[in-house]
Amino acid sequence: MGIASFSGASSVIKPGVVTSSTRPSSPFVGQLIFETDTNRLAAYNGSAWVTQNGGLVRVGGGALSGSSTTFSSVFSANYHAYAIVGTNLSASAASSLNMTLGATTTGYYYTSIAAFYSTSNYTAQIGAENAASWNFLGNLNSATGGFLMQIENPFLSAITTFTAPYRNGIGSSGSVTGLLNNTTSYTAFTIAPASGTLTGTVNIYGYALS
Amino acid sequence: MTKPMIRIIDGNQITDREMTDEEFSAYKIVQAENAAIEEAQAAALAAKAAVRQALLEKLGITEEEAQLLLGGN
Repeated sequence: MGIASFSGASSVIKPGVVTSSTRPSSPFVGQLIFETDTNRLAAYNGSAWVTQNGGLVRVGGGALSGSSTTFSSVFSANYHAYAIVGTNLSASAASSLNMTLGATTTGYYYTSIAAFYSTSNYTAQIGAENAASWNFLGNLNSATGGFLMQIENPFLSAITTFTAPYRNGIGSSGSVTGLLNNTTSYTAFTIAPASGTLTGTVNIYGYALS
Repeated sequence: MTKPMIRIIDGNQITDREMTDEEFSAYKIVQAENAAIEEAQAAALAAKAAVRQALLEKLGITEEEAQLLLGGN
């Protein structure tokens, strides 16, 4: 277990670096640890480990590039639900986004309920059953360049579900919701524009269980 | 033949490379299916708009008048 280390004017304190399954067996009140598998600080209050926060914890992310970007090792047993946040997105061509989990290319179901403002202000339901991917975000090229997706149970052996926005510039907006009809446990996902290439940033956050 | 580029992000490790045959095969499946879905959706939306326009003409009212009747903006 690491203790403290000091480094001149830029002093640092290094807590014990452990995992959630290798916490100290005889901790003292006030002891700090950092768990590498949950990416959280925790302090011992005399009877239990108190985590740094109970909200969202960043578990991965980075800059998108090329025709497809895969985020590996982001889903785990530490979280059941995740927020996937895309920012500053820019596609080389007008495009929606496709998402796949692991190497699965079948069993994706999704439905968009969207209002189309430029065509008499009507609503429409679009989507697909048993598709090769989830498709969301409408038309990225003229949209606002970002999204917030919520995804539930990708790692658990349960059906994975999601909710994401649908937009087509200022022409339409709505939401997309759906599921992946299997109980496979996934640790990775891939995002790809429906055509061309995509840049921007995606960050993944886990909803802490406690 | 050059395959599309894929980025793999695993923690702080970033790898940019061409897709493998397996990845490219999956990529093509998704792209082809999505193109077909988008085409079908566009056709469905166009058909719905055409039906609506035909109904307006049958009723002899404008789009704005229909919106007023329906309470829309």
